Amino acid sequence: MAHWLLLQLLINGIVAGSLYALLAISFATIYAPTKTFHFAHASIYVYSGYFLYQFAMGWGWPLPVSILGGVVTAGAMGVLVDRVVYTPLRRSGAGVMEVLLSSFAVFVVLQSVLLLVWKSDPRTIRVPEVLKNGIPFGVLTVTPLDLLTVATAGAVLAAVAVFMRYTRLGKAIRAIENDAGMAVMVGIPTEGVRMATFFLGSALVAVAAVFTALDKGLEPTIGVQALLVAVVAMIVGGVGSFPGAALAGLLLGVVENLGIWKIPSEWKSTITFSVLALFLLFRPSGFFGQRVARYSE
Amino acid sequence: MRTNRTSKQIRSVPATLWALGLVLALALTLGGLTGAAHAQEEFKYGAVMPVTGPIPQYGEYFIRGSQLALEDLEKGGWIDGRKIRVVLEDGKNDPKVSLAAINKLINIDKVPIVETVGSSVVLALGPVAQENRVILVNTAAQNPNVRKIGNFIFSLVPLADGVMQTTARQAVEGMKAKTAGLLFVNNEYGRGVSSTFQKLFEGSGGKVVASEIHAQGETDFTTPLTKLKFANADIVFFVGHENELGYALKKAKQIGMKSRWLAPPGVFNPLTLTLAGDAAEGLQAADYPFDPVYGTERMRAFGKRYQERFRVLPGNAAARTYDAIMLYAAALKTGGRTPEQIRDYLLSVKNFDGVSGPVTFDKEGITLEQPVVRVVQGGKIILMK
Amino acid sequence: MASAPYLQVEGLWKAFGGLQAVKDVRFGVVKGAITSLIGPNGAGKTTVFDLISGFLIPDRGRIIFRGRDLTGFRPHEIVSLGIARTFQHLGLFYQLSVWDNVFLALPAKRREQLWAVFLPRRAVREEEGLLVDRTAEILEFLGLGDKASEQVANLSWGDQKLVSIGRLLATDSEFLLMDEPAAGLSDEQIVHLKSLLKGLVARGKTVLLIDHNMEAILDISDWVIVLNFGQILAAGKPAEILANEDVVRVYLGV
Repeated sequence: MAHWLLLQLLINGIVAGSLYALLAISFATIYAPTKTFHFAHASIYVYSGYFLYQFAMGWGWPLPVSILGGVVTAGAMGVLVDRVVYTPLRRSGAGVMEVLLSSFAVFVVLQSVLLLVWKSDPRTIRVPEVLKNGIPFGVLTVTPLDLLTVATAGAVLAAVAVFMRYTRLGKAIRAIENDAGMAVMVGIPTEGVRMATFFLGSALVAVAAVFTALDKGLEPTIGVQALLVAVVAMIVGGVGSFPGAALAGLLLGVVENLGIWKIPSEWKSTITFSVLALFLLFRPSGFFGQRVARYSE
Repeated sequence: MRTNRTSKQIRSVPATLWALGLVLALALTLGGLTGAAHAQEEFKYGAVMPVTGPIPQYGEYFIRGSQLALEDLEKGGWIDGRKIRVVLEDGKNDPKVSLAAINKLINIDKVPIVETVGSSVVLALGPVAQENRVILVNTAAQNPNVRKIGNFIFSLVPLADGVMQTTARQAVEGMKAKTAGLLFVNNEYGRGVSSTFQKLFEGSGGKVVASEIHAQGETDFTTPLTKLKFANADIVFFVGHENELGYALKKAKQIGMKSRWLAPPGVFNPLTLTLAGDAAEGLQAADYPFDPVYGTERMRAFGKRYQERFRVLPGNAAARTYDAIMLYAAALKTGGRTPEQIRDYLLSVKNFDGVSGPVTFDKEGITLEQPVVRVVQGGKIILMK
Repeated sequence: MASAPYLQVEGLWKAFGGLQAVKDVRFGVVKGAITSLIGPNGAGKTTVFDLISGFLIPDRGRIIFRGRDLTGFRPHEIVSLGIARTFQHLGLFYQLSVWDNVFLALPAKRREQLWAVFLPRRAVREEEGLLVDRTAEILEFLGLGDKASEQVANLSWGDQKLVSIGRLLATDSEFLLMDEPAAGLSDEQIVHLKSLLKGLVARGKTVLLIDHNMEAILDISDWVIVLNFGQILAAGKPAEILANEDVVRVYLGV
């Protein structure tokens, strides 16, 4: 029986990990080129879930349309936060710390607004029951929603990889990440690219939020935990490495779930932090962070 | 339109409003130094409630229950014309925050009585109230240790030691369970109630085969439930809050768990049932008699009024808040003024006609209310005996 | 050569704290020529470059480019006027491929070019096709064709320098400032560099370059300016400079 449990935990870990991978990539997409520690990313995450709730449950839109609506609205919201808060600050010469603080302020304000608009009651989104009812494989179960989650996360991650590698916009994002000053010098429209990264990062986090909302429902407080996972995965993967962040996210999900095989499950987030601590101690540059460490000035 | 808007504002920004109230209260207290007669005009009823934090629904129960109680008192002309005013502090269900709040209520607002909920909070505030000789009224905490704090602590809720006897008997005799898995919230409530259950269940020949803990306000139960599923116990005994139970039941059904669920009182709550949907089918609990839909006439009347007003059915804590304020008013009407006099009045009441049911306290200040067993069947909550 | 100078530097002064790095430097650059700014280390060559390209603002003096006063312009504004530069530290996008480094520096026809991923495919292909051709052409010109897909971080120093020149060319600027293009290159590579520079001028570009090594590029320069302690020591054709006693003394330390 025990090894079946282990296998089930591994499956759960992969499902959780695929969402963690999305979280990590979403944060890295914004952080790597803009070096903005976007704390309000946590708000974007929560809001995209509530947008979905509003569209699907409040206004009765069909679920696929609501999902798309949630993702796009979240993307726009990310751009808005950058344009309204970070960019004016940056132009008036604010440093990393000021932007971080302002981001935290945005988070606090948005959190209060959320409570005013949607109250603190937990919300669930009605999903066709078939999606949520487990398919038994012997003693193991996987829900169709789990499969859909892994498949979507995989497809989105692959699309991001292709986008970053083969499109001019994706290359420009990587160039800015590499050397923002030179990017301006060679004529890359960095402000436009910046908006694109905020849109993309916010839309990506919305995809993770949507699947979490469909599966587990919404509470106003879920954003910080998600942000934490994203940041830890990005650091473990190596700042600046997209494959590293995705892999670290997946691994974090698996380790978290396998880790509680013999210890009580309340220790899950402790495991997350232990992984972070171990990496900071023994491999501060993460899996794939070495190149960055060598070349960044 | 106008009244509509007012009630909406009260619902959406309670903390701000009450904070404003507190500032006013402070101003009045300071002003009272020069005009003592002025401060005499109102009676105060203190409360430390989780308006925000992991279980904000309890803050809402309090605000709504107290609102209805105050309205009724106003209709009855208050206490010989003297108002009762509620002084609410947000304790966030955090013992540290709540301690600061009660100290303020006792030392600055000089309230004779404080209502609160949550085992961790009641156990933290109890000694402070006892020491300052201020009455502490518990309307939702079940940890059996509440009994031991002192003679200024009253509980309108039966504690787990009594209720769990009925619950464990139901597990062994009613559900014929030989093995149980525990799933409880990581605080004094979860630990106190689950360990009481475990003792009684194992005392009757049952065996606890797995034990999982979850965080307050948890929404993702995949991991603990996966472990419980593979432990394959006859029943799962859950201790936690309404929202947590709703999510847990739902997930249990989704991952194909077969165990039946048993819970402590108070879980047959609109919030749980909304979140869980048909996954709540078969859930059993030794529960409080309060039932706003099928209960006594007085319970139904309260339920109807509450629902018309707030568009949801009341949780039992809302009913107990209503009763606690009414008990306080009754004590004041008999001429009681000091906490000692109020305490003596409370100990003397017999079958006080509360909306949560008749209230009588034992000599330690704990309600004598006896639980009933309920089960969810065909989407309805059915009384088993 | 008698025509009005393409770039006119008028009486530049720049001090860092107590150090007067540039003192009353004035010179002109003729269109379609290679002008070299030489001098020992610390002579103020790079400071002059930084002043021209907007990284530093002069304390006094003016910089006139094609009749327009550039003094006080920000670096990217200067780039947009058609003046591009390389750096001693190169500043390449090391994590990207050779191809991408050049490709990204190509000016997009429309500003929304970057957003092309979201546009209908046909328009994208046309636009993209032009950029691809141009990138291939530049890499071919530099002799980097077979290294197009390599990550820049993995290239030799000489090849990285070529990439920095490629990126300069991609910007389509007509006035190119090169900071020590020959430094660290082998003799063979310097020969290649020289032919490249000649090729550039033949294509209508104007080049201003810095070198602290007198011999390396001197023979292909049309005009040489020698700086010493922030001041112009001499200016003239390469042969005149080589024959100048002051210059020889500075370089030989006599």
